[in-house]
Amino acid sequence: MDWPIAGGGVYISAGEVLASSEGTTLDPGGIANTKGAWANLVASAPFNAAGFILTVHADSLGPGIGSYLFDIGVGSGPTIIVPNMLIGGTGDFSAVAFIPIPVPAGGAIQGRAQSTNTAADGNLIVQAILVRENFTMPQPFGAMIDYGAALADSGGTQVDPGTPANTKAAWSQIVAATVRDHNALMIALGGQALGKAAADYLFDIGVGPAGAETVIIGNINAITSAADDSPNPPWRGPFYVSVPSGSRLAVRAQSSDATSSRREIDVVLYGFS
Amino acid sequence: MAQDQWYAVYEAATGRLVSEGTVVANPLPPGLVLKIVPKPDDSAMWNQSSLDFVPRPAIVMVDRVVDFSEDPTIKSIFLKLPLEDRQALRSALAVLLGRRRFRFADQAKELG
Repeated sequence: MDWPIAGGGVYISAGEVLASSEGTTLDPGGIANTKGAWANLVASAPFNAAGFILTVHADSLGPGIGSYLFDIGVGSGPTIIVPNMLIGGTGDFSAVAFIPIPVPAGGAIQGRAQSTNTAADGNLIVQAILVRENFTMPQPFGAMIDYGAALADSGGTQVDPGTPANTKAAWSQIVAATVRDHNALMIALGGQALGKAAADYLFDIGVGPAGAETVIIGNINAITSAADDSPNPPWRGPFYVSVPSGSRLAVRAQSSDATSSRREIDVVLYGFS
Repeated sequence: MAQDQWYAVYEAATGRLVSEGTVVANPLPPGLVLKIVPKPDDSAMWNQSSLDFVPRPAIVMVDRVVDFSEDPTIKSIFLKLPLEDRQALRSALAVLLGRRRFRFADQAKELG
């Protein structure tokens, strides 16, 4: 057998519940837009992980109808390593992404969520597949910082694709000034569970002051449907771009749907350092 | 410029909004105009005629229970029922449709 450099990875799942064939339940609790209790994905990480594949979906027992922000934390405390991940819609939404943030061996991995939905069955289900450090793994980052999350409605910053259809609209400011240098960005999209049409979208991420933005990641495609207003795919990235500390980040969009009160999308950006 | 002040940047010729936020290019590119505005919430949208943020129009939803009872074939049968049975049928149908009960006015009546 050959031993190519790209092989040899070790992956261990965290958060699965064998008795019900699902991941760990994050219950937002009964208070809208307030983080619920932490839930353990695993009591002790088995090795130093260079990152993890994060999966989230609505609880199959009661499809989530709402907007959600959830955190992943490690160790006692815990320390939040994934802040305010945006997900949501009116149906069986799901998302997956590789999060290049290290997880130390021996510590707990936990999650918690908040939502506009306070129903008893409006839970999220999460799982993390840990990726063990090895010489083929890219160097992980030390921090993931969220920009544009709106805790008051468990959503993000609204981006309006405007009119006419299929034409880029105005830039919406996500953050006036990034708090540190970033070497990668990730975008999360949400629907606020207000109902959407079957529509196509393209999103640009830009850097620079209003009136002089420069596109650094262009034409990120997503769709919505009438049955499930979660933009799909809801997460994209990380994109390995360099954004200096103090930069203004903005997002603009175009859509095939030009109907106001239906075309708007919530956006949160995440910077990795 | 005050960092907490919200600005709208729009095209002078058309009134079309180009960008919004607290950090603005200085100087602005030719053809763009700056306006100080209250930070809009999610219920507001830019109006390029009034050059201001205005409330979004309410979205119009159609009840599929009404679609059902107004269908020409069903309606002829429906009208033969006693009033209380019509109401009971509407209520049962509303439960069956669940979160698919309401549709946008420009969407098909059929459940996709």
